[in-house]
Amino acid sequence: MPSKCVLVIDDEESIQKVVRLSLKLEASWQTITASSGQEGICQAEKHQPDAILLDVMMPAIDGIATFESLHENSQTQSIPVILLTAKTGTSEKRLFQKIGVAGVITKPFNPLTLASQVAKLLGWSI
Amino acid sequence: MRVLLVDDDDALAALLTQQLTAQNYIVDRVADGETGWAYSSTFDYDLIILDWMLPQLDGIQLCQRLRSQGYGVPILLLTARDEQTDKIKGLETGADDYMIKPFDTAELLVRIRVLLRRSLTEAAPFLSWGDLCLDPVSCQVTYQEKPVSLTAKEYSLLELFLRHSHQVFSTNTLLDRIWSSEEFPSEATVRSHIRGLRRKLKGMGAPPDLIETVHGLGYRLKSQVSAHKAESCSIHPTQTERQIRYLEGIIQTWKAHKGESLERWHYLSQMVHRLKEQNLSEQQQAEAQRMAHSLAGTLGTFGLMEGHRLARQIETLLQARPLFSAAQISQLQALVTTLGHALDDSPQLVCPIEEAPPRQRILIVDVNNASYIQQLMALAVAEGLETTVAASIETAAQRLSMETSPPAVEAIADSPDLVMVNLVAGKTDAVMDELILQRLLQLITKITQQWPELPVLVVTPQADFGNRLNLIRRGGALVLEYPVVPAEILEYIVQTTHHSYRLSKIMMVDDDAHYLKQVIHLLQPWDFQITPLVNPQRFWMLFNQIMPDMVVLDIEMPHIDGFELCQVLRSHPRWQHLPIIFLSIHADPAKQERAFALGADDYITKSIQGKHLARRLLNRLQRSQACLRWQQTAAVVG
Repeated sequence: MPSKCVLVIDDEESIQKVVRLSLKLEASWQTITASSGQEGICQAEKHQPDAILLDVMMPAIDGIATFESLHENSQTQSIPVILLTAKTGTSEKRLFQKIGVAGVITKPFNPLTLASQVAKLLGWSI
Repeated sequence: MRVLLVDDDDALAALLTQQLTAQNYIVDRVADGETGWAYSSTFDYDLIILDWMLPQLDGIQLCQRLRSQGYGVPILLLTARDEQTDKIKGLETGADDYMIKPFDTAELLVRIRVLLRRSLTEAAPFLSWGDLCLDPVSCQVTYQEKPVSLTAKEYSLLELFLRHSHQVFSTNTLLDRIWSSEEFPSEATVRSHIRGLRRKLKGMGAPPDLIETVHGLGYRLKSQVSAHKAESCSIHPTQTERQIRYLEGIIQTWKAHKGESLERWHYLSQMVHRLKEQNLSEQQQAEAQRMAHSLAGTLGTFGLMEGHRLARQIETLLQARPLFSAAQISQLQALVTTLGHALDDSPQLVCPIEEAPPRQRILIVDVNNASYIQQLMALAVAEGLETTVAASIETAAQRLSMETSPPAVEAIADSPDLVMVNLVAGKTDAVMDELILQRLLQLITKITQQWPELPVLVVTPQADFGNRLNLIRRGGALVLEYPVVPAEILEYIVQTTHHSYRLSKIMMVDDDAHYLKQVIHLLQPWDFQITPLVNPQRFWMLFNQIMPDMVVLDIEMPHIDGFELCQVLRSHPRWQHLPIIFLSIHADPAKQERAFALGADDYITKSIQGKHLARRLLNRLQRSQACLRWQQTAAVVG
């Protein structure tokens, strides 16, 4: 099976690095990173990743606004997006379900099974 | 190497134990076959030495049972029977070797070594790692051919590392493998022996980190390097290798980025100062909340779970816009200070344990800003409880998701473990406004209607019979009369939320050793101190040694059944109030009726799952300890 490429959009470089490490060690996936919603949209257009892991709480354009932009963009709307977020309240969870993301992974995630979680949500095999 | 010696001859067993210990074996000795079975099915041994003639279950029967249950551990049979047919019978039942009493101990030790060597995959008699060599036959350790003098424990540790040279051993595994079940060492003991071993090896010229610490996992022999090894692992890394590489990666990343978290923490510290000076704008509060949110995410990702928890609590508190009570400010201050210390922890692997009991969450409804609540909050933070204050009835209703009916599933999962309602006025000599009091009473009713399982603790200055009855009818689980010291309130909170039962001693009697092992494993997240017993004939002796807080009994057992054990306990004046639980495969009402008639406190069927079983056990412990506390208080007052 060809290696997957995942775009990680998170304003925290440290978290980008940890996600990259987890995906590489567990599934040998390639990762590209972006530190803001705007940069993430550009990277998604340019690299056409197989999936996007998107942090919700970011300054300037937050994760939800970024998702909406990705969804409205014909070049990126078919890329599945998984939200990566700290534990959230009931109303936020309902919102996430409503807007149509492919899934939500709660932080802190288990680093040794992050790729499996992503694969399960997207129907991929590792 | 760990050896189980099963022999009822005390003098011979003492001599053998001494000889084996001198050869650096770790020896557990038991005197009957049933206990031998309990030990061998509970602990991992490298060899079992069995006497033939044993009380209860003889050596041949025990050997048969072990083999029929799939235990492949080498067994050496000792006996005074020297007929050829006996030898054949012994070997046919699954023993690997046979020695006739009286025997020469030197020959016995050689036979043991042969058996152990045969069972090990390594064919080489010498164990080596670079310049380090260990000869299991002569028990000699050398570094660059110079002898290294080690204590028995240091030798055992080194032998274990050398036999499993690529494995990481946690402190708990080392405790299990190196120390006998009669010793009670702490994790500090392991660390001390590792230090001693490193020092001695270093003294002989070995690298100081020949036994290296793998942060968050344990200890292992330092790789002799190896680009080759790294290369082969990068293709198909094992789970352990992956864990190690992941940990190395996050430790490096944390070092590089810790400063960012410290900056956020600093911002939160400043926010507390501003709050105290009543100089915090809504915008600054929102920014602080965002900081706390990011900190929670970052710290959790790096496995700094205590910091993650504290940051989450701070984030939740900061949601209460815009006003803060004095109690909330002191709680924030305590949380931020503790968070500062938690940032010094080392990154860990985050491996959530399924069904592990979460930290207890308490919601305090205090609309009057009562002074004692501040003190209570500080104590609760120190106790590790997640405590939130709702300063208005609306906030409390919102926090309990009481606007939606029925409540969402997520709300049930997020609900607190206890609600405390303060009915004491802000100034203790004042009387509470009647309208507010009535609204608070209505809130209690609503909470208990919507959340029937949620305990509500009420603190009130009026706890006479009429008021108490009113509160109980509204669903209050516990009513405390004010004045009451905050420490006492906290004690009741902790008791009601089961927080203090985690180290309770529970004795579990069941002749099915496999089931016992399974239950112990299931209950592991609750930190009970469980003593398993498969042989009810040893019940009384063990019971008096342990003095458990609770006894869990199977019904059908050989020689003495669970009903009889229950009767024995209840016949003793001292054990009238000891919680006794039956755990049986039988669900028929007749057996249950009999159990309760004999004095059982609960009857649980074995199909129960871990967390439900834990809850039932915790309930009983709670009742029993509340009763005991009350008796003690009554005795003091009386």
